[in-house]
Amino acid sequence: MNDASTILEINNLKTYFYTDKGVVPAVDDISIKVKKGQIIGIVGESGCGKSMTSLSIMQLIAPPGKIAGGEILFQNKNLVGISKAEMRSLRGNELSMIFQEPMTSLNPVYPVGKQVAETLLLHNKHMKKAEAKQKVIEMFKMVGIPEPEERYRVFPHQLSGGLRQRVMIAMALICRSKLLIADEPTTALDVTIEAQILKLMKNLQEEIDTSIIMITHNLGIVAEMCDYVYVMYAGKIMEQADVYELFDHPKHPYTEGLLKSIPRSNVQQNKEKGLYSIKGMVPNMLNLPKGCRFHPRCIYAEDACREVEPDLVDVGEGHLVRCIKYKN
Amino acid sequence: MHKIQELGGDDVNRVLMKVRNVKTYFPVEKGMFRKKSAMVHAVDDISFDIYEGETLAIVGESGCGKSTLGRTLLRLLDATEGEAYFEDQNIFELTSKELRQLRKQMQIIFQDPFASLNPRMKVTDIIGEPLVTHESMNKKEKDERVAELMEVVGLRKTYGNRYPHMFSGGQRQRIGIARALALNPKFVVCDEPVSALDVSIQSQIINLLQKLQEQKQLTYLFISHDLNVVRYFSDRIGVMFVGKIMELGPTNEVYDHPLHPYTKFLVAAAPVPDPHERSKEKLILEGEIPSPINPPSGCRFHTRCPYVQDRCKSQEPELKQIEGRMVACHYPLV
Repeated sequence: MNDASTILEINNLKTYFYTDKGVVPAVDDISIKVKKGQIIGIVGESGCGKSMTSLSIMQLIAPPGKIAGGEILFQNKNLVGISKAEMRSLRGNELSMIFQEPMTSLNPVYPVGKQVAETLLLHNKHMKKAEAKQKVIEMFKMVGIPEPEERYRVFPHQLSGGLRQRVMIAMALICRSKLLIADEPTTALDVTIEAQILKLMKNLQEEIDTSIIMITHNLGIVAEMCDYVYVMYAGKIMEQADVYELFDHPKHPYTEGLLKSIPRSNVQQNKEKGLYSIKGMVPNMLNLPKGCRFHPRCIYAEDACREVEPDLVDVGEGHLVRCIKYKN
Repeated sequence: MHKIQELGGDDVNRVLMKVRNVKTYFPVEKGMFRKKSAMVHAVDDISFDIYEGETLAIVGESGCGKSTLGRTLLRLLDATEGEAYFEDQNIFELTSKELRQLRKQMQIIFQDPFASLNPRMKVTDIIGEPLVTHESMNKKEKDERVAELMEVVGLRKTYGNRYPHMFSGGQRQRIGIARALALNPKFVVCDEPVSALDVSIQSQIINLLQKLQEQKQLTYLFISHDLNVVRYFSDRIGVMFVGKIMELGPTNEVYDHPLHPYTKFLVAAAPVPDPHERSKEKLILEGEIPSPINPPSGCRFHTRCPYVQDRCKSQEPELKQIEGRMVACHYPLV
């Protein structure tokens, strides 16, 4: 580890699932770096391994899945192979996560305030209950929950989706985590509520100086929130770059295709030619194509792409591409 | 026949469907004896026209009644009040026999390609079922037609003997589209047809829907919450909020110059896939979506509207024609 400002460094992480039908390389040798206060985006379509990356960081991979290689350095400490007790002391405290479904990630039989206070009490053995309650109410206020005193006592089903997601954010940030992993945090929400939650996350990130890993399939959210972006496809990182660089000069054919195929709400588009689309579909993870994983869908594919898997090549200014077109 | 007034239309386009003052309410049942304690005003007095060959999008947030509206117009749900004419037939007054005939002309594509296909049926039988029930085709005719439909939607003919679980989301949605088209309908309700799909698959399905519309002169009612897709795909757009239409007009005009404050904030809320847009101050609507069980008095949007005035709290605005559009606001943004 070199840089003091680096909070998380993932090196050559492999998370494999050992199923009856064979080995699924859900996360296949990826490296990611997160600096203090930075918002990192991981984008990709379903099954590309973005959620498995976040679960690997949180050490929440369950059998038949296993971290098969690599290291996850969080503040210089390798989380791979760490004891359960040690991980528990980090999780929710220095390292926290927001899930997609605010409906299923809260316990339905406890009042929401109590659930948030639990996180606080668990990590601060000497804190009094009344003090914890006070802190939770303050946090509820900060994340924009109206009438926080009353809301402390209500159960999850009595709250709307947007409010539940605010409770989740309050829970994730109450211990002032150094790193927040948000896995599709707004996918289940309506657009006007999504805009509120994204703004809230950005404000909190500035206030608390938390680093965020934003996992999403929505390129709009990436463009709005992230500083640096990783594009994943079938378990591999295909391209990584600064957000402006990635949107202005995408280099990988997959990124290029993705950006071209999304319709945009802010401009009128010509309907005559149809929408650009990437042909085919994502490969079966049990039977990956030889060579570049994207080659069966790539419009530029040549013979060499079917044979050799390209390396992730640095094309300058922190822009890396895994494509045969680019060489060091 | 009733005398029907034209709504916000021009003389060039032929009206395929006229919707007048449609209300669909659901009772809320409470307690042991299922006493009806309140009503959900899912669709609350909605009127508009659908022109032949167009794509009319209905957008809005969850619970605004857009799916209920789509299903009411196909009579998959019963309207509480109002009239809906499909080529001069009031579909709410049809007998079940007449309705069966009409169903050939009106079909639906569902959002969830995982839940809308029977897992125990083979693809050929799923696509062919409408042909058997409505056209009483024999096996040979049916198989030919199914093969043709599969080709049209881009599925390999050899897939006919497979079951739905063997397909990906995009392919399943193609099966659903083939089933909807089996009877050569004129009018198709697309209820969030691409919301469950990945970006790269989404554009394939949108292109397919567009191609089919051109080939078969289909009329779509396109229900969606995705403002990016709607802008691309629709000709006109109706914006719904808690059971009401707030604004209805040509898509590009509505996006570029919204007249209703809700439309303005809704359009602004959609994240734009361009980091250079970030510097612009983002318009963010405060508050939550009100409940359709007990909608706010006056204008339903007044509890969230940043431009609210006293009149909005007591008097409900009517849907009026302004600048070639229909808008329900006392103080439109002209």
